[in-house]
Amino acid sequence: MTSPTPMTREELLELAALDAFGQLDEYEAALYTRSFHHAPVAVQNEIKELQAAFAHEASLLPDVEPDPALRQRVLDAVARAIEAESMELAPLAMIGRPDRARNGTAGRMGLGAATPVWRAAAFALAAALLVVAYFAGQFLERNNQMTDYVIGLLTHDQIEEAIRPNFKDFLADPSCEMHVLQPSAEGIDAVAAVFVNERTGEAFFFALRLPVQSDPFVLRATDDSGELVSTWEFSRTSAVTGVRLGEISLALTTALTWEVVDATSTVLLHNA
Amino acid sequence: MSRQDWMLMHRVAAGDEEAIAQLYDRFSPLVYKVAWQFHPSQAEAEDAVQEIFVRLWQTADRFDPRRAKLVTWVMLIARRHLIDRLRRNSARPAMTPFEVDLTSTERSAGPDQKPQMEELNARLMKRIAELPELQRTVIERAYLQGYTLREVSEQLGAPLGTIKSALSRGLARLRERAAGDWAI
Repeated sequence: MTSPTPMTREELLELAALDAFGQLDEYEAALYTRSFHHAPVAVQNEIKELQAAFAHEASLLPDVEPDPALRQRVLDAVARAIEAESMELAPLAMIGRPDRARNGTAGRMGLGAATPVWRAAAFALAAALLVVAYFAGQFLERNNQMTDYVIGLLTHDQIEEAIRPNFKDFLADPSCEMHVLQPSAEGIDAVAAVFVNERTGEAFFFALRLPVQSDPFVLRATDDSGELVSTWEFSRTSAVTGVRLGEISLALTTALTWEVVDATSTVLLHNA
Repeated sequence: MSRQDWMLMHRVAAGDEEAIAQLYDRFSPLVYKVAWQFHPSQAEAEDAVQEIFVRLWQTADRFDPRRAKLVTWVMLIARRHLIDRLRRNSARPAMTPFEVDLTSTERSAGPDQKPQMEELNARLMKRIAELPELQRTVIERAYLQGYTLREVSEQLGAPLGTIKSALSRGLARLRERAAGDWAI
């Protein structure tokens, strides 16, 4: 991937409104975001203020107010959407339940709290399966054995149900970058990788042979200043573990350190 | 605030009903305004607002406070959804600031809103009408009707860079003039 010259402050300010209104094309939007993160913090703040002012500019919008009754209708609509997604993915929810559900906080967070659980679970093994298959011969020596193992875990219908039709496109996309996580100490047999599409921010995590006794795990992303950016909790589902990380911010696709830590906060794997 | 906003969106992503209600209370007035701008009828605007808040729940985990303020993110998601909605319906807003049909807005707006809307539309029309022709046309098509800049570029036969510049400068000028109005 080539890295075009970052935009200047003037260019960033010139295009700030277009960026805020989503009027930049995909390539320019990615360049804008990259340039934004290269800019000094003062310039970043200047841009954020300017964009917020544009977004909030009431004088460009009609002077109307929502009906008070709309509030409940909107909340109901969101609740229905959450429930619909939960129901759609419920059959796969038993695969690899994350820690939050086990710790009993899901109930406190309401119906929707289970959704990310199911979403992650649904994608987990399917992602692992295809990743293993796709990178056969490129990534790990013993992956054929692992592929067979994973295939044995899922029926064809489960794969069809869980996987997105364009998942192979995700892997084949030139913007898809693989960040290999290596053991941080001798005696750790596990290996893992984070796959990030640096154009869209979509990301998957995949690991082999995480130690059973160390479950549960946390995947941590920290930026180049050492600030913890995001974490994902997951459990070892089998010898192969996969987690869909969702669409992470494009700001996080570069200059990140990825680590897998175990239940005692010991770093098992890292990409540094 | 950015940390709190990140936490709020984290909870929204997890389906926390209280957080979703907070998000609604904070941004629904603004989201409703922009929905009305694209769909100037109460029923259509309300449908759009519902869809936008579902979309905000779906995308909440992508909000990055280091990249933008929450209001910018919310309005970006809202505008993108409204543009997609227009494309799905194969229709553009019938009204523009230059051809506002107040009779149709009166049907949907409450009686108390009519004079305010007329005044605001008139102010907005006046401000936009005062812009240079290219800026006026680009704002009308890209900002108010949801065409992409590339589409506007093709429609007008002008280079994309010129269109971008016209939109950016036109919006900046509108803001400056609005600030002037308030100062008066």
